[in-house]
Amino acid sequence: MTQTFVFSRLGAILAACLLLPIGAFAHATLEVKQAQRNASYKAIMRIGHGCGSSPTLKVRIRIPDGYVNVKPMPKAGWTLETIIGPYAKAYELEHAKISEGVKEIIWTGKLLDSHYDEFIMNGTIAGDVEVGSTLWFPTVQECESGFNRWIEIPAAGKSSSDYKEPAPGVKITAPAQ
Amino acid sequence: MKYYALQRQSVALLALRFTGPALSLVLMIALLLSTQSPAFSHASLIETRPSQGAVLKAPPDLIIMRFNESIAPLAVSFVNARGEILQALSIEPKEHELHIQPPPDLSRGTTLMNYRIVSADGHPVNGVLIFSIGSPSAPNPQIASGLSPLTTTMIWFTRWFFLLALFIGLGGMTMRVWLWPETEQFHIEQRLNRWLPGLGFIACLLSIGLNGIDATGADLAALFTPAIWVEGWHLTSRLTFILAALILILAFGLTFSWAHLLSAEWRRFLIVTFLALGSYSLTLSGHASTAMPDIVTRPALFIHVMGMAVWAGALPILYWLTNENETQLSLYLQRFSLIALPCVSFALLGGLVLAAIQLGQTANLFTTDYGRILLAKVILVLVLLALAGWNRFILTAALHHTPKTAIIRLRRSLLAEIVLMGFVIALVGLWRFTPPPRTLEDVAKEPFRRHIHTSMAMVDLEIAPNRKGHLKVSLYFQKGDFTPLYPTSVKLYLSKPQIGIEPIEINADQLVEGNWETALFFMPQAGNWHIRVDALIDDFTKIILEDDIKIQN
Repeated sequence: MTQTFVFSRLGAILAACLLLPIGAFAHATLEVKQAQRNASYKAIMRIGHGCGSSPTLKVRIRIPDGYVNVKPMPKAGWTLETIIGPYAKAYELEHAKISEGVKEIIWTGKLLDSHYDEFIMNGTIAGDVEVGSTLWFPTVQECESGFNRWIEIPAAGKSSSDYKEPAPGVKITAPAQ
Repeated sequence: MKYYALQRQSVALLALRFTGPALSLVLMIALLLSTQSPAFSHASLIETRPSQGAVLKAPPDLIIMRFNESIAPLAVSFVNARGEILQALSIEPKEHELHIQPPPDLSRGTTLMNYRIVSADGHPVNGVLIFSIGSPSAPNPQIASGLSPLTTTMIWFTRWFFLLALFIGLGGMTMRVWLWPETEQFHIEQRLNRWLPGLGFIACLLSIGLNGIDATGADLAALFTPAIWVEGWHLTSRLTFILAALILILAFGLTFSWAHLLSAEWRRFLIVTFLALGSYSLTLSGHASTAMPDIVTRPALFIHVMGMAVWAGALPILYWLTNENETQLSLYLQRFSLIALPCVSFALLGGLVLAAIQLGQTANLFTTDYGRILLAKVILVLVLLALAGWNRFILTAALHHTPKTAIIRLRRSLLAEIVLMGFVIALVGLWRFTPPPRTLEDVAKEPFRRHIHTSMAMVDLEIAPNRKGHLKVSLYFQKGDFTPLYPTSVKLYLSKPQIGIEPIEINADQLVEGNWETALFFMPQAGNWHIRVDALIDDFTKIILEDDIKIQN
């Protein structure tokens, strides 16, 4: 039985104050939080800390449906793996039909808690993604001890800030005319 | 002329006899109603820092316990992983909180902190906070188990003596002054009615110290330390003992010859007031007086005690009066017959009301210690009633036909009644150690059930028992379309944001696929709670289901 009161309210406020200038780094987040439909989007996943003080050894990102033709950017010192799978449906892209692609990207290396790094991929927001919707990039950060799952998708009427481990997301806007 | 005067005098006497107690009764009932106690409840723990079951990296510098009401600490001790008992460095109450500085040498492993605090109703509340340093170890089972048999016996005996002083001593004095004023001349037989209140006074004072021992779990020898008396003084029960001690010592004084400087009317008035105040003192603390609704239980306790005191007090005096010749004796008996029926009726009525409230369910009569004591008491009282009926309806009548055998039988019957009454009072003293069933956990209560549904998933929750304290949660998951859903891990978060209780994290274990259950965990408070169920489906997919639930008290 684990029964832990989360008493860190004061601590969290204190930490929030200290971290305010780099507030966005408290979670795994995307640097660019908006993307145009039917256009290319470079997703930059920012990892601001380890799991507690433990260094990060693996970053795994699940690619959302509608973000297609994804290519991860290799990183020096990190091995890169991708998991390819069929899309939920086929997409029309520059007159070519694509029905499968990268579903998950795994970077393996080492990032100290005291350091910061970015994990980058490029791809296209498909033409049929609804404007105003959010594409979520659930991310699992595996560390020497423990892990963080940035996978919480807010329920209707709530926002990411209501959760402890929110999934990074990008909001889809209308294509430029 | 003489006859007329005599009659007038006896009418006046009679009037005085009945207005006195009537006035006292009215006074007492007014007093009872005016001192309604606030709704007492045992203090309950809201949160602790570190939390129950926490695993810490280093020993805590300060342990904070927060309760729902103001409390006073009685004792805090630690049992470390090596089984050593250690005392807290400092214990400081701060409004609803208790700040405890643990001893410096808490070793790695699991530590138990035993605590005893006292809440507004004067009842000590015990508990254990368990936390581990580094990693958990098998906890040492030296949880404070309470008092030594000697201390328990001492507390019970003192209680018994105190009640004897009140019932037989003070009750007997009242009967002597009111019913049989002639007996005030029989100095020898007055000893019991003099020395029972006198010694009862000492028992009262001793009770304050003994309650201090009961509250702190200290050794009997601690009676010689002033700290124990201070502890006892801080309990609500001191009200009972101080008032009773005062009454008993005054009643003791009233048995000496100087009391005859007062007029007979004054003495009658004083003694019945003492008896009423003595009975009232018993309603100021204890299980029966704090049972709800107190507007019923306190007056019920009062009439129960008054009735029993009159009944019990009369028995030894009647026993001595059997030495008189049969004409005198039947006169004395007739006076007693006048008041016996109403008194016994009041005692029984009050007793029945209290028993019904305290017991809750009939089954508790056989299944709880409290109920078994009550059952024994009821059986003894039934025998007492049978003997009383025999005295009243058969032996009293027989006094005229066969006085010699009737008196011998009456003596035996009265002696038996006195002994039985002593046992009844001894049983009442035992209640000191048994919580009434109404306060016990009612585990059989219906569990709380809730269905939480989103488009993706749904869960059926069952919380049993549905009341604060130790409970567990069972969960059954399905997808939004009623097909099976098999999470790989399930966590619950319970919070009470309205009063700042942050989420308590509870792990659930899988029973079979789709069915999960938590271990028993401690729910600190009743009322509305927010529950959040996190079900991890795969590495990247977590389903979060949230709702508000209500936990019964």
